[in-house]
Amino acid sequence: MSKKKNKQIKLINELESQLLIQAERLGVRDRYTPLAMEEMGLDAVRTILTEFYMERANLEYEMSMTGTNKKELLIKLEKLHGYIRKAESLRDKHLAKVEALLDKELGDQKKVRRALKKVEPVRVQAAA
Amino acid sequence: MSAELSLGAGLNKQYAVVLPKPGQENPEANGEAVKVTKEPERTTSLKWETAVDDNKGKKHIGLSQPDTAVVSSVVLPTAIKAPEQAPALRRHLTRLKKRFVDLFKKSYGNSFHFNRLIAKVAEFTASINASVLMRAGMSPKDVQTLREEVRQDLITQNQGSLAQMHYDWSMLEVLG
Repeated sequence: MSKKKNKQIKLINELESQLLIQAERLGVRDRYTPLAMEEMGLDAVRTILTEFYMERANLEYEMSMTGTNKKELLIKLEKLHGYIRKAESLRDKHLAKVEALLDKELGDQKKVRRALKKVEPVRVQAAA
Repeated sequence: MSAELSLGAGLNKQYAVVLPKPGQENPEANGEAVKVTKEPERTTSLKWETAVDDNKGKKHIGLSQPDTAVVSSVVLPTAIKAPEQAPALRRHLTRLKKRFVDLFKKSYGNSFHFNRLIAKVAEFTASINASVLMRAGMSPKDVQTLREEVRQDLITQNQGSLAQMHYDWSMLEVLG
């Protein structure tokens, strides 16, 4: 990872902590649970993916309509495919994290099912 | 008269007197009264007189007409009807009020700043601005509404900033 990217990530983390402090002062810190933050990240990635898909459609349309500069367009499309793959993998990561957080909040599912069985009313068969 | 009265004028030296109505005045003062009502800027029957010190150290109102009556010896904004210079003053007051509302909003917004020092100073400034607004005639309920408005705006802004931060982070991950 380059130094520039490290610095940028550090800056974003600092920004996040400042925003969370402000949220705490405003009395809305409890809205930003880990799950909510992951969902925000997921939304952001989905927005980025939508933009990339639109750009890909535009480039493909341009390539099919205009015959000039095909090489340049192909390079752009190739790069865009790479970005889309990265964004999709990031989206999958976020989805996995969201699922893990949801499972954590639900607890052990086997135990929950067992508890539910105990709570269910016992069926009494009437004597014939 | 209107040119003399400004915010810095000594209001306790001014006294309101009622001028006689055109049909009720005595015959000697008739010409004077008619002259007064014909003035284009005069809209009320009130006239303002200044208290004059006599040689014995006592103050008395130098009435220009014998049949005028002192309405009030204490000038309060609620005790008498506003004189003709009021529109200019009111305009000035409205402008000041708007300015203080803006200042209040800004300082109250800053009181939620992440930097503790800035937040404390802003809290102090906001309370001063709130007291000025209340003196200017704003009710505590209105001030509370302003506070709530600012808070809601900040919450929305905070949420937007966090979403933007996530977007930037994701973009950095993808493109970086």
